[in-house]
Amino acid sequence: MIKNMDFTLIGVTAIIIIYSLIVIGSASTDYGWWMRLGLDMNKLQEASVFQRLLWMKKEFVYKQLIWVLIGTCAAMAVVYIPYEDWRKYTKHLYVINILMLGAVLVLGHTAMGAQRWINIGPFVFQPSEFSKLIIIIVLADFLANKEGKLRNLKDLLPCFIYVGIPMILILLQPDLGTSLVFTAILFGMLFIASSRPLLVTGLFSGGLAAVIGLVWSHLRFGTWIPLHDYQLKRLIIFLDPWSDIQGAGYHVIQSQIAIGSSGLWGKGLLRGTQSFLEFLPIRHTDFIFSVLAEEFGFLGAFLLLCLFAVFLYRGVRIAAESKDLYGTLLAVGIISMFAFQILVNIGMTIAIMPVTGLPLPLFSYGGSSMMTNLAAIGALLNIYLRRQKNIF
Amino acid sequence: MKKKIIEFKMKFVLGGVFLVLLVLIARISFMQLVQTEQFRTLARNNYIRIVPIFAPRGEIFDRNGEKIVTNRPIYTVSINDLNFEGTTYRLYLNRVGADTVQMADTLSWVLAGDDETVAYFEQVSGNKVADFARENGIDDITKEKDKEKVYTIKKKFIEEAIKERAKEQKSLLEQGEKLEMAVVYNPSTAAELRRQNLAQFGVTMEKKTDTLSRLVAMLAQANILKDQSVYQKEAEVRAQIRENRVNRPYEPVMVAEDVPFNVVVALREKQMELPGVIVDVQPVREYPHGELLTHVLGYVQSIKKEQYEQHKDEGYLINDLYGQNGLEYVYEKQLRGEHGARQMEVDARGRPVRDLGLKPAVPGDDLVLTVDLDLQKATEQALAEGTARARKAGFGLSRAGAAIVMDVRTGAILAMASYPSYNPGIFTGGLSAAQWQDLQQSGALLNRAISATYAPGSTFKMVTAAAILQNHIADPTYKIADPGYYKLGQGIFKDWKPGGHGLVDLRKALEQSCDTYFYQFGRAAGVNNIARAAKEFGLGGKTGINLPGEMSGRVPTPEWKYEMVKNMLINYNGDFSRVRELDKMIDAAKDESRKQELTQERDKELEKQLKKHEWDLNWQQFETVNMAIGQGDNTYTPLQLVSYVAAIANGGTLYTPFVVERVISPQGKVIQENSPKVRHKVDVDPKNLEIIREGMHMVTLPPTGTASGVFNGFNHSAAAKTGTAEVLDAHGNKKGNHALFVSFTPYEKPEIAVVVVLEYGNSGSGYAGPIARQIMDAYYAEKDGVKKNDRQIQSLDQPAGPGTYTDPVIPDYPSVWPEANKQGKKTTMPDNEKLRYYSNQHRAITQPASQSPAKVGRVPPTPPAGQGGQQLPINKPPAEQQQPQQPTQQPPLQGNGQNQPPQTPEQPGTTELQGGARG
Repeated sequence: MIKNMDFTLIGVTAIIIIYSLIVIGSASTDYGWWMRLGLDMNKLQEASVFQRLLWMKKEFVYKQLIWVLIGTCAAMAVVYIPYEDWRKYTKHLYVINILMLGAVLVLGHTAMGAQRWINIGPFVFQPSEFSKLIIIIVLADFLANKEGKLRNLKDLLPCFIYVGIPMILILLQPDLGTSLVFTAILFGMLFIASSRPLLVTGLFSGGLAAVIGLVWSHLRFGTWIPLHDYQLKRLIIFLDPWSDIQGAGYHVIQSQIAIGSSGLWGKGLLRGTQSFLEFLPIRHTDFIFSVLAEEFGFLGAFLLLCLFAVFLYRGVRIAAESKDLYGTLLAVGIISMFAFQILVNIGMTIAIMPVTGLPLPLFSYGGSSMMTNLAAIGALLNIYLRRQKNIF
Repeated sequence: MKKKIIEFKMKFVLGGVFLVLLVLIARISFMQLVQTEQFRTLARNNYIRIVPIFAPRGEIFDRNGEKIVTNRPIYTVSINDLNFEGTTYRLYLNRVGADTVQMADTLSWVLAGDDETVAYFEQVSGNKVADFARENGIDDITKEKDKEKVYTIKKKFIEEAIKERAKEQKSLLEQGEKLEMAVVYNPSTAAELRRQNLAQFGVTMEKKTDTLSRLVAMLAQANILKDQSVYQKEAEVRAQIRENRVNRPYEPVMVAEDVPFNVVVALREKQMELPGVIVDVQPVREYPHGELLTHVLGYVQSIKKEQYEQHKDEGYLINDLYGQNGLEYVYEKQLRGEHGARQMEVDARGRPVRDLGLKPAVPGDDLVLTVDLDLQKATEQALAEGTARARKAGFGLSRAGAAIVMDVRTGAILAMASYPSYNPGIFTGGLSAAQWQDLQQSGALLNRAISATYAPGSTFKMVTAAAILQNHIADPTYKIADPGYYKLGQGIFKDWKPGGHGLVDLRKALEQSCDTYFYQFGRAAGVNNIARAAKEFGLGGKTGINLPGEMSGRVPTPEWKYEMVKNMLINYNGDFSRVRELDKMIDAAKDESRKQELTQERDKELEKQLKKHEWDLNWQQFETVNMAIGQGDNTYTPLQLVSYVAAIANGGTLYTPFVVERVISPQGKVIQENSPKVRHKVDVDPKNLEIIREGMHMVTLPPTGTASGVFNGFNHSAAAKTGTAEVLDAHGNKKGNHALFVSFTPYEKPEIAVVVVLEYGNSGSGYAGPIARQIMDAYYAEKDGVKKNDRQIQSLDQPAGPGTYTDPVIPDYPSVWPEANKQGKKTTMPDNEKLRYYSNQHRAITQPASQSPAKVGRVPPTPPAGQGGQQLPINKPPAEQQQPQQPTQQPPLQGNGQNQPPQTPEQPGTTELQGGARG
């Protein structure tokens, strides 16, 4: 069994996580905290990398490390139960998912204008994160059962409703980012499951064009859209962040400055003026890539993207080598989730995607996200482990 | 599904995934590898602040190296725009709704004593405080004695109003709205007070409050807002921040000036809580001797908008200082120095993180004046005492005057005083509009020594004497028998002494200021010769002193009179109405030939009418007679008079008067040295000057010299001439006499010339003379007493002497913050490194001081040429001796006299009338 493990995937994941811990440490260390330690800026300029590593604020690094451990346990649990057996419980999972998302709307606490979190004791959970993995598991089953029957639009409709219900609950929080991840997962998996992939691609392109057209016509002619003006503004500000320097565009501008000003080699650990002096907001979560790019430069950013490339390549291979369609669909859903989040999160920091509050998978600080992602990797390993049909 | 199809589809999935990564890499590499510099600049704009360091202006020293103007460092507090204008308080509502929070917020203002809020609540609740008060037993809330009660009533009224509102919002509360975040616009406040007040209404305020509010509250507690309320101050600063946002977004806004040290320390300790607050040091002008030499020094004020526009390329800052008058204006370029800058790294909240670099300010160059401080003091004191004496003796109008002491050998000004005076220090703190108006009305701004002109009276007789001698009109020893009057046609010109002076030659005529002698021979010499002599002595023209606002005065000549009267006639006389009409028609005419036609007609008409008025237009003999004794249309500045006397004293050399001896760099290097400059050699035979000097010497001698009383008991020799110029008001009535006194000493080997003009001082010998005597006494006391020359050398040898402005120490940012202190760590204050403004760089200034006195605005307006002429009929010897032809000339001219502007006391010589001269 050990022989069949995908060590490349495990290795890449481990490297990404270690990398992330360093950047989280740097991102959460700011000048105000630093001053209270009695250190000053001149010392920082002189200190070696090792010294600076020791000087970083450890609070979030340790917390994240705990989440990694918990996530690893979860992943191990996921690996242990053969993935084919999950299909028995998909209905239960689907209901649990709906209940969980409903609970958020009733009990959840609000921050930054959205209601996404549930407090359980000292921990704060973000159910929409878990719900991504759950939807992959249940949708894979749903689609695998319809193998060969997904020929036209009518066949696809139930799939949309199936995913649509939890998606609406997430939209109500409101969490546009996560619901978009659902869309990405849905289309990614439909592409594999459907016997007419061109139809799925066409649907996706048509939908995207329709959304863009709707927004354009709203801006041009003032037609109705299901968004408040301030929400829309936040979404499209990336097109011209300089139109509102101090307001909606602030995050995007500061992030771009952080990334752009670093150059090839970067400014060095803890020496990023944008992050250390707090010009960059929400550094250790949403905009962690900006911190990475600022302090480690193009080479650091490129390295991370290469790691993601290896990671995703392994994911694709696992999907391709799966012994059954269910496994393939699971893997493709997971790949879609990762790829889409990488695109949207990094895209947001470099102003090619709207600011939606999606974390960078395996990299951003955040327990729910880390657990979900590690469990998802567990699922990939599970599929890879059981790729040969008659192993037992 | 077949494995093959899956594999095929997976290729697309892999392609999609890699496409995503490629797009990201492409964009990132473009930003990080191509646009790097552009983003680096933006990053620097974020974290680098440049704080200007104001250069101390150059200091001004007297000839002996004593400081007259220096600098004093003050602490200033300014604030960076951190977008906190309209910063919101985040208020957590516990028991009440959002609207109520707003009201509670306002209430905190009421409790702080703000009446505006009461009005607001009256409006909201529809009730009146007055009614509410009546219910509570107070009939009249305006009564002073119930002040405290009324305060309680007001408070209660608002509490009731809030409770009322809270009831309305009960429905909200019932919905279980336990915790709500409300954002309230922050108008302005002292934050702590508000926090306490808000707590009473179940509102807790987030700990983070507006920096500006906290800063202003702190300053108010330290009592340094002067008469401004917290509210006013905040409103003012916020307005400035708003204004700056458009054009100067990174420039900090000044909140307070001249902040005491203990407050500075307190601010620095709280630096972490007060992001964006900058404490800095700025030098301001200091005048250790108060009003002394004010008119020569001028003053410094914030740069005016038009000055900024004109000079902004020269490194001026918007809140910079600029010399507005006197030497401060003339030597602005040399005095201002060069501002330095401190480059600071700041965090997102504007808190200074570390110094990135310091470009020290280069202090301005120092001026060493020719003025002798002790002599200047004596001169100003003598002038002030002299006016007081005259006032005490019943000449109540005597409130102003001027006195100048000049070195006759060089033209250097040793003392220059104008009375009344003012303290230039009042400009450093900023002047209110009312203060400025007061100052202008007091007339103290005018430098009477150079910017006011006076009729010379008998002090002009030396000019006439020179004309007589140079043109061989009379031999100096030729004696006339003075009957006490001089007859010209049917007119009689009286001497000041009834019965006359007996047998008089030229020397005696000067000694006793005999009018008859000068009437007779002055007329014989003729107006042109007298005018030429006057111009020879530099009268009626600018002396070229390097001070702004010098007036030129006037030597009357037939040509001048003709032009002046002609213009007046054309403009006002009834005979010339047709000419005026034609002028208008010419202006209106569009056709060129028509224009020519009209012009011809006009010229003909003008010629015709001018012929009718020939007598008015032409110079008359009686005017020469008037002029000979220094009356008529003569007007000269005291500075011209002193140069003229100095030229007599030194044998005929007119020097350009100067007040700045050297310009030296802060390191003590001489940048510019003013040596005596000969302006003109007076074309008068030295022998004749000798005769005039003898006459002037006799003036000082008993028993008959007109100034013999002045020099009673004087241990040195002197030469002098008294003058008393009659001043008439607009209606030709005598208003009083200006007293003049010109002199030099010692007689044998003249060193200094002293001129005193005392407005309404009644008599030259009586009131102006003693002032000059006092000045001479002071001169000799210093000369014969302590030799001060040693000090002069000192000031050159020790560059540290001039320019010892050192910045005070700003308490540095503590490197360990109070929080750390609690953990038992020691707070260490880094070495308070003194900021030295002196760099070792020498700034080579080779070009001479810019001279542009004409640009200065605050000088009395030059009287229009016609003005003096309007007074022609009354500007002549005493009324009873009027020429018979005169009345016929008067009607047209008298009517014009009414168009004259009202006379103002601060423009004495220029607009008032000058009358007969008596010895």
